[in-house]
Amino acid sequence: MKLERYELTAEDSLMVFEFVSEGPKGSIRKLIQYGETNLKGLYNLAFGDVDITTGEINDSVNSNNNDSDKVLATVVATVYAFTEKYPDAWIYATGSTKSRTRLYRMGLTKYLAEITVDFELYGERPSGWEIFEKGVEYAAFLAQRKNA
Amino acid sequence: MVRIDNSLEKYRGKVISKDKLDKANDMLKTTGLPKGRKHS
Repeated sequence: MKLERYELTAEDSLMVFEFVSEGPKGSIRKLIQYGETNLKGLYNLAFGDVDITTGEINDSVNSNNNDSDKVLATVVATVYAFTEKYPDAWIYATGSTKSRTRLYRMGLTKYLAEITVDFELYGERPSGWEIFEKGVEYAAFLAQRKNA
Repeated sequence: MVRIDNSLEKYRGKVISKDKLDKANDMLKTTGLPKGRKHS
């Protein structure tokens, strides 16, 4: 995706990324972490705001900084960077609430054609994982690079 | 292009979204990963 995005910083392993969202609410530090799960090779995508005083991460805040497309493009850029380094990785993502999961689904739907060039994308239904389709409600999402 | 800043290492092993991590681990127990794809 050739969309406008924020500059990214990461540590060596490319499992933690940071960027600064700029908008009407000011400059907000955002952190993206690919966290290990109970299965080797499956990573949980965590995303939140960094509290500049404590350094803690708040993953449930809605910062409303009027830059959701740019933030989404930045998160997608980290998915590319992460899976360049770990091409076999599975990435699991879900929202902290149903409405946030719906928001993620809308973002994925908007760029589905571009995403599916490089990734297998699945949505979680009560019956199991299905290939992601527009207009279907999912509880979570799963992606893996196509060259894996 | 990603600039490297190893001060971020402090977040590497930290559980940021426990609820989401729990959901991912629960999914492994109940649903598992899609069939027919490469698993590590």
